[in-house]
Amino acid sequence: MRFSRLFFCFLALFMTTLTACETLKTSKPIIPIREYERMIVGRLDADYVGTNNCLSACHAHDQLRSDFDASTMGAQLSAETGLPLVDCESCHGPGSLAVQGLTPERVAADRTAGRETACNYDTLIDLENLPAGAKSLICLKCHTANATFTLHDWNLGDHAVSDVACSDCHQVHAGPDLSVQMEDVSRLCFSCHPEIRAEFYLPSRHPVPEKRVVCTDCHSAHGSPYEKSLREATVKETCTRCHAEKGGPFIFEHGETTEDCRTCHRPHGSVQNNLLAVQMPFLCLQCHQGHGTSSTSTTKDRFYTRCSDCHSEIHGTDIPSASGGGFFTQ
Amino acid sequence: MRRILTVLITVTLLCPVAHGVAAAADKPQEMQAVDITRPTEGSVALGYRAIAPGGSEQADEYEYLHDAATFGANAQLLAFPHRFHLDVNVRNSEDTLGQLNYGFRDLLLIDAVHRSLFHNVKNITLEDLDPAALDIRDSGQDYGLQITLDDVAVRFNAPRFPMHLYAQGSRFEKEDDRQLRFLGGSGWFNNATRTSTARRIDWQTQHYGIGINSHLGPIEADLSHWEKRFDVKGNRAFFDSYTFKPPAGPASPARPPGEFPHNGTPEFKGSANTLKVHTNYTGKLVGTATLSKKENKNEASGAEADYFVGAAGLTWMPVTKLSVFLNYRRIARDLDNPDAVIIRDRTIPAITYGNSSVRDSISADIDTYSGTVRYRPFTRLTLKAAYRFEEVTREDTEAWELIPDSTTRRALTLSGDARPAKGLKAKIEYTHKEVDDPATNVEANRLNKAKFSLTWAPMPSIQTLLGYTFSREERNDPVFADTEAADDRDVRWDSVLASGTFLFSEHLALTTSYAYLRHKIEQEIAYTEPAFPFSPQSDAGVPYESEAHNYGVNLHYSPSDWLQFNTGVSHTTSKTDFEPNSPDLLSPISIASLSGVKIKETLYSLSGDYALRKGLRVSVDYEYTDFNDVLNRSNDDVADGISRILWTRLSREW
Repeated sequence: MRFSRLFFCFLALFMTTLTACETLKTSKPIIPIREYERMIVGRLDADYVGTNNCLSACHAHDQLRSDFDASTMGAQLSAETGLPLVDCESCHGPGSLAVQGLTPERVAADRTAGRETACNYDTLIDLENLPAGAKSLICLKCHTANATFTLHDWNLGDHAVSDVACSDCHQVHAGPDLSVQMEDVSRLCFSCHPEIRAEFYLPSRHPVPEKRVVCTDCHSAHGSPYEKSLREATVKETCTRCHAEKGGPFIFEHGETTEDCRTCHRPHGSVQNNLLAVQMPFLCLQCHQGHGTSSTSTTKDRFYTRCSDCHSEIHGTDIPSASGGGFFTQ
Repeated sequence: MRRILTVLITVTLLCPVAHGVAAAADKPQEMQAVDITRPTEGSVALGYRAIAPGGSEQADEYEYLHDAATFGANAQLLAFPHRFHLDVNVRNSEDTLGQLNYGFRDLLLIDAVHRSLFHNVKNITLEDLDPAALDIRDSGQDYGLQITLDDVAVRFNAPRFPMHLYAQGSRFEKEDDRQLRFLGGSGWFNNATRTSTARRIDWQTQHYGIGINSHLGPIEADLSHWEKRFDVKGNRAFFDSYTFKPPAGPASPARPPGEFPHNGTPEFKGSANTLKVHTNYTGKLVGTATLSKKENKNEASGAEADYFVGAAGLTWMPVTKLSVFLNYRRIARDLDNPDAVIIRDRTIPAITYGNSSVRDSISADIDTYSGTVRYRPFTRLTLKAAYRFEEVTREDTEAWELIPDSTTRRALTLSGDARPAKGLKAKIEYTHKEVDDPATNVEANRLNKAKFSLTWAPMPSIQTLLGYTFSREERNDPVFADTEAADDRDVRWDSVLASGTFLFSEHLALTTSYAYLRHKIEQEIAYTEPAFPFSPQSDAGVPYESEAHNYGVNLHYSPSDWLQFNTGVSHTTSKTDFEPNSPDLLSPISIASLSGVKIKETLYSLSGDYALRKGLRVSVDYEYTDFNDVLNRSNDDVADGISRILWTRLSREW
């Protein structure tokens, strides 16, 4: 019986997958966004002339062409995939009208006269003024066909909802490597999130200005189904990727507070040591009664300096306190 | 789940074979003729970094405080079909960054990143009016942690259609000594001996996973399996001789003297299976779904935590002016901790203490529904309205007095983004949030938050930014274990940002910035008197405030292509304080005097870059940091420090 069920599952999956193979290269959208499609298709009276024709006369963009050839989207892309090679006209649209009348002789004459020979750029797609969604569509058309799973949550992500386009972060003309390099991540994020940059000026902070921790260690720039575009489902899970010793599970848990580290910590920066949201003992006194004290008591410095000097396993522990309870002192 | 995963991977692996057979019957495709010649580009830099620290290491929190030769290299190589990019930056033996990308056609991609840094950690001096209650075992010891982060991702692409097999791994390592402060003596009030000692740390966290993804007709699917390990070397647990702890009520029996463990660091093990499915990204209608099942286990105590995460989203763009985004997320947390724990004396196992009725950890189901509508009436105006509803339903809360069975959160956010004129951009956002039965006193019942920012570039050479964020939170009658506050808790956040960039000429640019951050709380706090431990006293309306100002100026001057200068100053003042009112808390010393912080930190930087012939370049960076602990209290966690760093480099570019 068990074998039959397994065999049935196997057969069903096999048939589904084989059927799916027939449509592999034709991943089609559910109702195309026609208005954007019209924007990114370019002039209908223009023809595609190919990168060689675009560049043969003036050579002003030879470096860009070389960069694209060297990138994974250029000549690296195997023709067998059926995916289009990326060249000038993939994004800028058909270029026949832009280079109409341009000849090597005219370019040479202009150069001799100290002039730059300009293409008729107005006949190309006005990329700069496209809506962010249309701009991103140029990239997404290929990246959905190639099953780019880092974009799984792109459409619902904070960036897409806030009209951020792919080209706002990925400089497609900067070189062959279009991914944002580790050294550049935080600078790029801070250009739109200066309020977060300000928190990294505070005395206690993660080493983000030092470029040893970057924004994308915790947040997914391509969107995520979780709060604040976190890479993990919960704040705790995100923090304990590095601070695993605090992750638990423990026999004695600190109620539910450790499920959201932000109850006590400010992840970007804080005036207080250890990224604490509020300085101890006030941090703990927000929820807990302070230990016994009076106007004649000399134990204030013991009980009201840093609570974690004694409650040193405040994130959870397997060892009970002297009373047998879970007070995180052992 | 594992069985399904195995079957699916096997079947999907057969796809390229099946498809290849089908493709062989078709007319064979011509291989693209490729002729790429691209010279190798790169640079190499050698240098020397001299550091002169003084006082506390807090001026250099993330610096390894030793002079060192430095090395940097960058290389981009295209020897078709191989593509290779390497970036290496070594500041010293403990502070490195390396990034490697390798591609073979579009069939294989490898990304690897290595990072390491040194974190200086302070040895905090414990002080007490009664020195007998202190046990300092680490006087004068320097602490710091060597931290290493490694990430690697390998992706194979099937040659005939878009199917990927991938593997990813990451490793996080912490090593060296840091301070451990704990409660020694009897571990109870009768002999509360605050103790500090060194803790040897050698912790390693590893995540590694494999996955597969491809089109499955109208949808795309990704299936992955992850493993997580937290391994502990160094001190797993400490043992100390504890003195007798007297009985203190039925819930607090006596503990015999003995050598018991404390401050243990257990090892953890976890795994996750994740399925992601989405439709084509480019349609008017896009659907996504993520299902994940995660299991975590404490290898020492057997405590377990299982999580189920389900998320689904739908984007609908009926017309390009109007978009609707809908999300649903469910996180089901199931915690299972042992009912009893017995701790034995290290040498005489018959001496024990423990707990035979450990409180159940809190399991919960969290359902979150959210929707956003985006409307763009004109090209230069975007309006958004977002609503979010979240319900937390908890189990096993009977033994947890302060934690409610359920919490409901509702939030409405309205925002606008306008570009009324060229170079002018304004953003405004308002959020109102209501919470029923907040989980803690820290969570508010009501929140109102407003955010405004204006970016103005009146001319290409001037760019300015002004931003203000204000938030006000109210919590009805905070509750404590034995009392309830009579007054509400009020919280206020303020943040002001201003910056300007001025290009005086193509050679000279000035950037100025100012940031102000304030966090203000006013709430009742509770404490007990020794004679009446279960009759708490209240101190109403205690204000707490944390505040920081940052001023920054940066000047960039490049008189020619071969010479550049950069200089800047950043000054931050920050302080935090609270003011109790009760005489019990003010004499013989105010408890506020034990924890206030006031810091002034100034960073001066100067750098120059001079291009010699044949791609040779000389660079000099100098940084001076003054970390000033204004209050100069000996037992807090801040202290004065100065840092001077001089870094000279000679580099060559190809």
